Amino acid sequence: MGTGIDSFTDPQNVGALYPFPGIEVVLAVVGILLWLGWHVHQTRIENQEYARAIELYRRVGTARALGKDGTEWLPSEEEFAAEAEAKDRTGSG
Amino acid sequence: MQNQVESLTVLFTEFYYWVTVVFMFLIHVGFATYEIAVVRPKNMQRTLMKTFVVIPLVTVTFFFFGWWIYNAFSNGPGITGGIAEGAGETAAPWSELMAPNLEDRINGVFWAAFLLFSWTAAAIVSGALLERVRTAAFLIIGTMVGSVLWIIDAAWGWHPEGWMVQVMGYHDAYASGVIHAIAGGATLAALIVLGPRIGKFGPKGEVRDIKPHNVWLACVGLFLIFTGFWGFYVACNIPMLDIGPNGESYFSATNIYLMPTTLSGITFNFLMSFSGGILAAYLVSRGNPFWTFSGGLAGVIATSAGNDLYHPIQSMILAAIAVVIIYKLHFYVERKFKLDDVVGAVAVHGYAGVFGVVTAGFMLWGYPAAEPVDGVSAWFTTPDGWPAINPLGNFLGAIIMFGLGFVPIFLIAKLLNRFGLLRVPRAVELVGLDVHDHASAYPYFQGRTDGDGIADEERALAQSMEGTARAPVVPGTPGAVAREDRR
Repeated sequence: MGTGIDSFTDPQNVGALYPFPGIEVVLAVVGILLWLGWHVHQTRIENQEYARAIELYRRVGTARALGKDGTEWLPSEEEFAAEAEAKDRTGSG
Repeated sequence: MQNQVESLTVLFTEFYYWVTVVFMFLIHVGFATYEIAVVRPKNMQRTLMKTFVVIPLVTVTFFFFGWWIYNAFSNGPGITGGIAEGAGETAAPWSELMAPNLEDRINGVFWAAFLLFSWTAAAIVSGALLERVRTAAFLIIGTMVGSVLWIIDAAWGWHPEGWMVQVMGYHDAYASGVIHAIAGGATLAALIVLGPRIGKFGPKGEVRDIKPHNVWLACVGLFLIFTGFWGFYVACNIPMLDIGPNGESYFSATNIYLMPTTLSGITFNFLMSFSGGILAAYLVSRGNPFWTFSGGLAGVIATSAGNDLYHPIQSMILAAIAVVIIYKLHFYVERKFKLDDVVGAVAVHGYAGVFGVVTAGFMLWGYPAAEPVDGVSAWFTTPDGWPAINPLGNFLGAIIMFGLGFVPIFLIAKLLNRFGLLRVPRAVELVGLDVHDHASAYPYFQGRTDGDGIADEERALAQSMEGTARAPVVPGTPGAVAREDRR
């Protein structure tokens, strides 16, 4: 049983060193599919992230989310959510 | 390998390229550092991810098809001259030579050296688009530039048998056009479609300066890029090759076209062009740190096409001239066309790259471009019948390089924009790319505290200078104090 090479006593006649030689085309196809799939998945994640952010800013107000100067101070999402819930309760009450 | 001389040559060459790859990693440490520094804190983490993740994407795609493109598309004109012989055996992703193999020791390190150039091409585009481009969009654009576009032009004009070299006499030893002009063209195209950051231009079109959040870190990043640039320069050479005539041995380093140069010579020119660029940038920008550092980079890029052959003082002067031109052009284009290039990438890489290619055509007029390929007629030839470097070939070459970046990326950016995938939503841009999914980049940063004594004294001194802006004479100041210029 072996996956490729079983002797290095004659290195002049050794070529490919990797296991399972002969499946290079399959490896290339799998690799390209993984690459394309990665782009699709990354785009989907980014779209979901922005959709969630937009929904949050709609509820709490973009100006409030901008925080102090929009640069130095980054408000926490939990804080926004709690504030929005409180506002909802007040509004419904 | 059968004998010691052959073994030493091959193993030295293998190690040489391996070392260049390690050096070139520093370019990307530098890119990451300075891009993070120039954005506002609300965008730092997304910026880092965008800059970092394009590296593995260009790597895998350069394995899948980039390296094959370089080996396949040297015939011309364009990509219509047929696939070059041997490209598949060397560089197809299923080739046995694209893996550990005792029959070949150069392919992997040569692939990696070119790959690091590819990372650079992609990274150049990144900086200009900061703070508003979608990560997904940049990753697609960066992969196109890094693994497709630049490597097509490298096959055409950065290969001893490339059609631009053989027919036009194109010469671009250290990639002024092949990497920098094409990446500059791609960046300009993406910028046109993407538009400026919110607030960059006022209601009357006036330009506003959105400052880096950390100037010194931006400069450290550029310093790291310079350091990595050494790896870039030497990776553009063949370290040891027998170029003797008629069977006589003469060993030398060569440029990418297999024409003789020396590592010593390019060391002169790298440092002198770097210096010429910095000195000119300091004057023209009136000591602006970011532009002074960037001027060094632009100076090297603006002379790279001919830095295998220039005199160091020629290199220094050309770098200085180029930096003044690209600096003025950057701000003219910004004002006139309302383009918001965050790091000046179009100027530092695109304009400087074009300058480098065009001037090399004049400066090296009549030099041999490469050994001729049988059956190919060059526009201009040397007395030996070799394709000759000339102004027309390099001028058209510069247009090809810039255009090969600009046109495809303009179309891709338009397509991404059509589906709303190019730019982040305005509310997200306003609040910050990091805010909704990441904690603060500086969670314990509380802003300035002015409670120490020095700050109090400074404020008191400033108040005493109200209306005069002159320091009053303070009796009892310890030590000697030089006189203030009262003109």
